[in-house]
Amino acid sequence: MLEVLPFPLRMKPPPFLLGAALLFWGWQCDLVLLGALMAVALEGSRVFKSRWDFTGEDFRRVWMLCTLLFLGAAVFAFTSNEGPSAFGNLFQDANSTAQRDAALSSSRTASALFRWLPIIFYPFIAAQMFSARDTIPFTSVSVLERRRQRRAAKAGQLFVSREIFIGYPYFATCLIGASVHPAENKTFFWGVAGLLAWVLWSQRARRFPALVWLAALAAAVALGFGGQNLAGQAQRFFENLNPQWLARMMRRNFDPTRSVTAIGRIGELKQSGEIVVRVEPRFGEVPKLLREASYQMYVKQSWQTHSQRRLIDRSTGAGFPGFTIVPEEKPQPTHIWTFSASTPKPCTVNLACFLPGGVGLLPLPPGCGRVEELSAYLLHKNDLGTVLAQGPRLVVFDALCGPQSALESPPEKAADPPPSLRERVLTGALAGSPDLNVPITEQAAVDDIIIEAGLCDMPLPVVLHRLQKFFSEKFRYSTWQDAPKGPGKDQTPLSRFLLTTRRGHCEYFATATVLILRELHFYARYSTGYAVHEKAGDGYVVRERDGHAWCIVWDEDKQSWLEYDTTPPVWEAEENKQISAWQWLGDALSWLRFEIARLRQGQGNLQTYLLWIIVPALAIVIYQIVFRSGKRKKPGGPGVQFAPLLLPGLDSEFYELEKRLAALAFPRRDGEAASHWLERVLKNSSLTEIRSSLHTLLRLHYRHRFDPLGLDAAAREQLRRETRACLEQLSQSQTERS
Amino acid sequence: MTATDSLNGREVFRKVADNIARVMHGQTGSTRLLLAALASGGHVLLEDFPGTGKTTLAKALAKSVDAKFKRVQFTPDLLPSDILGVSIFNQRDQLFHFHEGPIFTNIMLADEINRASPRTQSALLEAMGEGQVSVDGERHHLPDLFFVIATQNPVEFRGTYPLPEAQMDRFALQFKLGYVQPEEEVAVLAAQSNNGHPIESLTSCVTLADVQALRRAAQSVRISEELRRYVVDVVGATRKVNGVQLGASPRASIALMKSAQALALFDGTDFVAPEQVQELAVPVIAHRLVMEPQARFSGQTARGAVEEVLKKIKVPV
Repeated sequence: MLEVLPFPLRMKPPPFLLGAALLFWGWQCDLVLLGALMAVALEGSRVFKSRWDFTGEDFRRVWMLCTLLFLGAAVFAFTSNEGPSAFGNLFQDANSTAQRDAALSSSRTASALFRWLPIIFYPFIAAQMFSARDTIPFTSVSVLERRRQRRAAKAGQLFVSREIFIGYPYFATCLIGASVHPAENKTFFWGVAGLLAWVLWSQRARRFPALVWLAALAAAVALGFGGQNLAGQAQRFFENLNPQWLARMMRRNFDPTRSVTAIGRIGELKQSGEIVVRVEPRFGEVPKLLREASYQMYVKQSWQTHSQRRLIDRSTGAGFPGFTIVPEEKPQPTHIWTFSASTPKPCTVNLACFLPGGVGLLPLPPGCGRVEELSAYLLHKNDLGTVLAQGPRLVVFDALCGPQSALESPPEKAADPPPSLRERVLTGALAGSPDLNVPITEQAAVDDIIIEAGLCDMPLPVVLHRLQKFFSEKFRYSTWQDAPKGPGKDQTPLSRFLLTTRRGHCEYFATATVLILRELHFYARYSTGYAVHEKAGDGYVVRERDGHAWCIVWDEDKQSWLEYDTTPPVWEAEENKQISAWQWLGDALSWLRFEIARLRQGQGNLQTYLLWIIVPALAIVIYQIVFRSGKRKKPGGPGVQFAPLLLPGLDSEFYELEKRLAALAFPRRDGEAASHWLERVLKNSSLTEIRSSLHTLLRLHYRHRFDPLGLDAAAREQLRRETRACLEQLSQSQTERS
Repeated sequence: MTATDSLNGREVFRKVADNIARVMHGQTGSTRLLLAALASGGHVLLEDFPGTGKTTLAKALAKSVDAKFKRVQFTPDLLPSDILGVSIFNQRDQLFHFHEGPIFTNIMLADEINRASPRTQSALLEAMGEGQVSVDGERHHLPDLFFVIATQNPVEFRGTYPLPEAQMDRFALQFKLGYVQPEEEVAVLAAQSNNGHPIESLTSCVTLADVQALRRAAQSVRISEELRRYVVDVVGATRKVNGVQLGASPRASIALMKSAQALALFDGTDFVAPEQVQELAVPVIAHRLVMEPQARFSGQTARGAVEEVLKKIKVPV
């Protein structure tokens, strides 16, 4: 026995219910015109009598089209409601902000999708309403049913698909769509109650009086009204409770004032190839370095700002020591933030980077004086030129820079007069400025290098030149560090690098350079950021392994900081050895994530790409449905259409006789066989004379028409002759009667 | 078709119909349908209230033909092996020997078939569809003439299992005998009051070879392409009627065509006319339709659906 589908899947809704539901949906979603148009088109099927002869396969295609529309709408809704970045951050760092953003994004996505449901599934209900079929095979919409059908076919068993009518499911879809109404009023409740009452009235049990039915309905409506009010209050209570509770649970810490280096770490230094910054030159040259932060104090293999270090509560964003808030010069739509009073030269690059957890350091080109179109909520800056942003997960902005720009403050000058170089080298006197500070544990090694490289009492340009040459000739870039052994095993890691191993990565070189320059009484700071060298399309991509450290040194003549990098240039080639064979896949995913994030900010090209994919796909599907297999036909009998057939015996004279008798008030009905009709005709007493002739003629006519061998010549002549005689006889008797 | 076969076919029909008429009073139409199924190679399901003569009609046919006849009374505890047969281990030769069940016969009366469980009912599927049975992985062919006459009480009666759709589809025709007219019923009483039940004295009037000749004759009746399409139109239309959940299968088209050929033979013509198709449409198609529950509640019947189709489809004239 067939498994019977539930009633709502098989029953037809009462007339005009679907139109009313569409109007209601349009009203609730502020799409009145669209809802009215859809309703009129759908209910127009009652007036428009032509029907499309859709097969089960056609319905399956329409269903596929609706499914594609649904998926497309889901992607669109997800991306336009900050879904990718919200969920990306949730997976990276599940703090309370990320959770709240993800929850908000998912609820907005679901709301948009629900609101569009009646539009998405409109083609399917329209196909049903304008189809010559009363119902749709369940196999058209159900994968499980199709699987059952295939299994039955394999087993050679009879399988008959169950049939559905999707009127009520679509009605429910309209109500769900309308439920996402922006208006905070009671019209939705009363509208739904009215529509459901309409449905229930058409299906009511006739054995109860209408009054009883109305009373039961009124009770149900009252209960529903009270229930929804209670549910609303409960929802508001839990909504308030939830963020507070989560905030307490999910707090994390973040420290922008300290950079722990890998100096002293043994083994291989490995970094990922994940793209962290995208650079697009707008005007002028592309900067070779992007600086994230600068530090003054070297303490036990880590660099710190001079300010007292303090942990930052990321969930509240409060408490960045040494940082001051940068006021936003021009809010939306340009979002301009200026760091220095002097206007930078128009060397502009567009930068895109992620702020994990909504807080992060901005990678900026040297000399950056202003950023534009940066959609951050708050921007903080310290004296060392480090810029910390609080904002969305992805920020895309233009950085304007030039040599006159001064993002970072001048160095804190030491006591005047400062001790001479010889005095400090020989006596180890303290510098008196954080930008000149050299840890006492490293002084001996640094002094040895100064002497070895011949840097004493040299002007800055000479020092920079000699030091660069010295490092490139005497030192080697390496991401590998052996375990300390032998005579230098008790040295500090930096001293071991300078005096023993003479190989290391950029942090060694940068730290050593800063300390050497400071020992020579040149103000210097340690900077971290990224090197820009990998071209990708019109711009550049910066990967995590492009992370770099270098030195900035104060030029007294120019009164500005110079970027000074002593790491041997082979480091980029060394880092590239870490490239994975699957990097292209990571890059593709990164690009997708980036485009989606840009799309959210209204800057991406993903919408265009999606359009180029979806439009041809939809065109193909619609062509398949409408032109390739759609067969339009006028409503008629339930007969099956065959190719034209050459019918034998249509020249039979018996048809003349039939016409004559029909004219005598004995017409033959469509489904009435000739012999049955003749029996009815012959009951009339006026035809008794030709009774036997008619029987003979019918027998001959049938042989002429239905016997594949047909009539022989004699029998054909007999049919002709006797029919003529019978007609004459009929005419005579008619004349006699008249 | 040779003239001899044709003549023999009609003679066989006449002889058997007359023989049955000695026992079944007022059932000429039913006898005609029963023999149409026999001649077309189909099987018959008789459904009616108890005591209307279903079993008697089946037994009368069986007795009229000099062929092997078995009767199986279907009960809820009947097993498939009770019908098909069973392999029994013989200790003497250490081998399994297949013992044929009652299905290995020419005419089988499956009495009250809907009293057996669906499992047992389904044991007949292969036999009725393909003329063979598979037991323990071995195929056993049934005789060339294998004709099942099943009887059943209306499914609403207590202690019955409705036949599955696939099983119903295996029956070429289903019809009711109905209550006979009062004068015919009086004749029945009169026939039984003298020398016991008249069926006891019924003897065979045709042989197995005669029935084979009848089948060959029916097969050789001509049918035009137009009428074949009419058959397909009628059967196909049942799949689109409102209230019908499951329409008739192509097997119904085949059964309708073959039994119409048999009727044409009985009517003395060597080609099929539309009237024969129309006469058989309800007995051949109606039992294969599954009506929607809503349609059933509203009083719509499968028979009514077929009649509606016959009225709507333009009949070739």
